[in-house]
Amino acid sequence: MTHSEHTPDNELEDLFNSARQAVPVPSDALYERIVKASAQQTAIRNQQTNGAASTPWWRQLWQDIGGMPSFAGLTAAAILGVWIGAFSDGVSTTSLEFLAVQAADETDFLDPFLGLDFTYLEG
Amino acid sequence: MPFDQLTSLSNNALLVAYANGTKGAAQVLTQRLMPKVFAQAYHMLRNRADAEDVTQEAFVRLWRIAPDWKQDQAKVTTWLYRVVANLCADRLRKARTGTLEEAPEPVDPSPSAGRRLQEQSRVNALYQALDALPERQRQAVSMRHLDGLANPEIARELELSVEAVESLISRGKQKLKALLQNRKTALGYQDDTF
Repeated sequence: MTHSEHTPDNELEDLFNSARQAVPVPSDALYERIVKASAQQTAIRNQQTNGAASTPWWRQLWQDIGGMPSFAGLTAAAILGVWIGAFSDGVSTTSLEFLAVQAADETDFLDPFLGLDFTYLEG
Repeated sequence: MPFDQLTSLSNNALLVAYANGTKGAAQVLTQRLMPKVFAQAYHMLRNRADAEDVTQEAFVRLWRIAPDWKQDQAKVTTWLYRVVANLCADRLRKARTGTLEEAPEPVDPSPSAGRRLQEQSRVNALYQALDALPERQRQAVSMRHLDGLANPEIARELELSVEAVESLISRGKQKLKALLQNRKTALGYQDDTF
């Protein structure tokens, strides 16, 4: 390259020019790879769009509520509930009775109006 | 859409056309932007293979976000510039920690190889001087004089005012001149100008 008049600014500009010109031309293979990638992305997008469009509403709902694992959990809980309801006669309710007694005791113990009579007496 | 009609579209319109499935839009956009993207990557990485990898990765990301692209939101060139800068910065970080393999540049076999070697040593001297600048000055000078960005674009990229960018570039160039003063022989200048 021809160098312009040797002033510091011109010489620096010459160098920048050289650096810009020193950049190699990108290969055709790179161009091909990039264009191929664009086609691949389009294909992926189309596949996703088609997949979403071909799913019926009830299947989409089924997937949204969690599918088979969710249904299995719900069924197990329902069976257990029915079983407890139907066959709980022999099941001890001691723990429930204990809780009820304890709750009554606590009510007595925590009676907020316990000293009210004395207050009236004192005038 | 015919190919010559596509070439008259803006970059943003081409990207939207690509997202809408217009054949040829990606080709036109690639032809138009690839040289600039590659040059930016090459200036930062100074290695052809790495610059090609970064260019390809940047375009793959562009194709991926194309369906969500809003025509009036950003410029494709600005978006690409930022992506390339980030990808190059990542690579340079890895190179500094020694995980990136060093690939030697192929030797140019052309008849004017001697002259090209001289040019290459001038460019290397410039790169070395650029590397010696403070980070912001180096970025601003490179963006302006190697990547060809206008000052307002640089200001946006660096999140500075245009005046601050002008000042950075001015100080950067002063420092470059001082640094290159000692490299006159390598640069092919024989007088005392630098």
